[in-house]
Amino acid sequence: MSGAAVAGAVLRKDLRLDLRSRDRLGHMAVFALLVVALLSVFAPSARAERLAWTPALLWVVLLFTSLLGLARSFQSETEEGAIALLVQAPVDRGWVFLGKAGAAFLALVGVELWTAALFTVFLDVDWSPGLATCAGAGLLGAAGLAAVGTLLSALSIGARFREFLLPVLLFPVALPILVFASKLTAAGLGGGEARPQIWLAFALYDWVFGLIGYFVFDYVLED
Amino acid sequence: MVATAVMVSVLAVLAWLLWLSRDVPARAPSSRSVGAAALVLVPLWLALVVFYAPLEVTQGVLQKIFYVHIPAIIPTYFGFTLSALGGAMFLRTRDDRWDHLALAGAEVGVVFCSLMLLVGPIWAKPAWGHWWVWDLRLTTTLMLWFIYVAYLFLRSFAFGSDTAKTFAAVYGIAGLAAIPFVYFAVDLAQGSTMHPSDPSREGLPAEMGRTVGAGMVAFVWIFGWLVAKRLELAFLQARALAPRAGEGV
Amino acid sequence: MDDRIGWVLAAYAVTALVLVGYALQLRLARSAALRDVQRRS
Repeated sequence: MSGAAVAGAVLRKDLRLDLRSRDRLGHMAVFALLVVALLSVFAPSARAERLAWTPALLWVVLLFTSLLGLARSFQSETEEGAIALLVQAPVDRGWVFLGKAGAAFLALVGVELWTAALFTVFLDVDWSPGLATCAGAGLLGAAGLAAVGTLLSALSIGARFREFLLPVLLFPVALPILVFASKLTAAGLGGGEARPQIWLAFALYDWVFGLIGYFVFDYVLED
Repeated sequence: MVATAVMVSVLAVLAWLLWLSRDVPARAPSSRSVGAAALVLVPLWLALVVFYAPLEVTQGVLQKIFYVHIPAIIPTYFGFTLSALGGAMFLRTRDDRWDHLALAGAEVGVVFCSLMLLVGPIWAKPAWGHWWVWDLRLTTTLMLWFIYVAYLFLRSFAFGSDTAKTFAAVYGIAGLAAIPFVYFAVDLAQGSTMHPSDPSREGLPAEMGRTVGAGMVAFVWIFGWLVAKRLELAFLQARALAPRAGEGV
Repeated sequence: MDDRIGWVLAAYAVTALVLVGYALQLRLARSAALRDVQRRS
């Protein structure tokens, strides 16, 4: 079985799980709804102020929401004792990482679309001035969070105080995602262009952590 | 010339620590000479701070904190790099000696990192009126501290000792990879607004440069000595936990 | 003498305290570990 096939199988399995049980996606959606609704209660009423805060707010909401989903990345395998099966896959276990991260990426894109809609409804945000820029930020952000989050989620399997450990591991490492994505989103919302260095750094970050996840997963799954 | 002295010290200490970690019990006595070197360098550095470094124009004597704040940067990053290196080698070789090096590097590194975060506000409050300033260096140091602390938490929380070592090694690598991006991101996020003017940004008078350099050299040797002591401890603790010779496993 | 010298002394004192404190803590842990090793042999 080729590596890509393994990755595809893992991805499809996770997707099926997500869509069928709707646990992970549903919880993330409700959580995002709650947070955005809450925030909109005391968001500044002046449109300019709100717009100034929106990018940062959006990405903080996405970060916390994604935590919910990422913590579950390996839950099904742990519960069913299926980690051993993953380990036995006769290929580079990095492909397992790619499959998992791919599923997380798709879930996150869904959450982003949902959250963007929430921001439009509750906070009166208009995405049209910079749709392409915001979409790009969203894709790069989802990829980054998926890569780093899947890797770190695997690291916290079986650890005590997992709900505490994962955010502690994730937040400092994911800070660049927040900054890059919110800068790009801000540029998009303002109808302007973002500096190309931000795009480059963002893409590089995603690439680097994708690679790290791929190469390191062999060791992670051993134990 | 100062930069060379610092680089040579860093490389010498690195080489020594790598050599030491291969056989801690036999090679531990070598740390005595390192400790002695540190004991000589510290008064030398302090003498430079007090008598040789000129008074800075805007901040006066307060600026002397510079000579203890900046040198701490080197061990902070040195510790992190050492830890990531030890972790990577542990992943490849499964040799516990590398893991001890990783842990020692992280622990001593976090001590110096915490030091920077303590001294920073002591300087910032009288100088700029706030306990904390969101300048690039201090903020990046704070992020680095978070990564360090996360690493140490991971080690203490993960199940089973071998798993903890592996996972910590992976996180060390991830953390190291994140640092340049964090630096760039913090710089980006702050734009050019709130940088307190900082003598190290503009050109530094030669005497100041040499004093900082002396501090860096002194701190690197102190760092080396502390890592050696931590390595000894790690070795002892491993021996205390290991099954006795001749006992069944 | 600039009265802000107090801050400067505080900074250096904190440095000394932290480093010496850590070294002491290592020493204490080392004694405990030595005792553990001896108890086993």
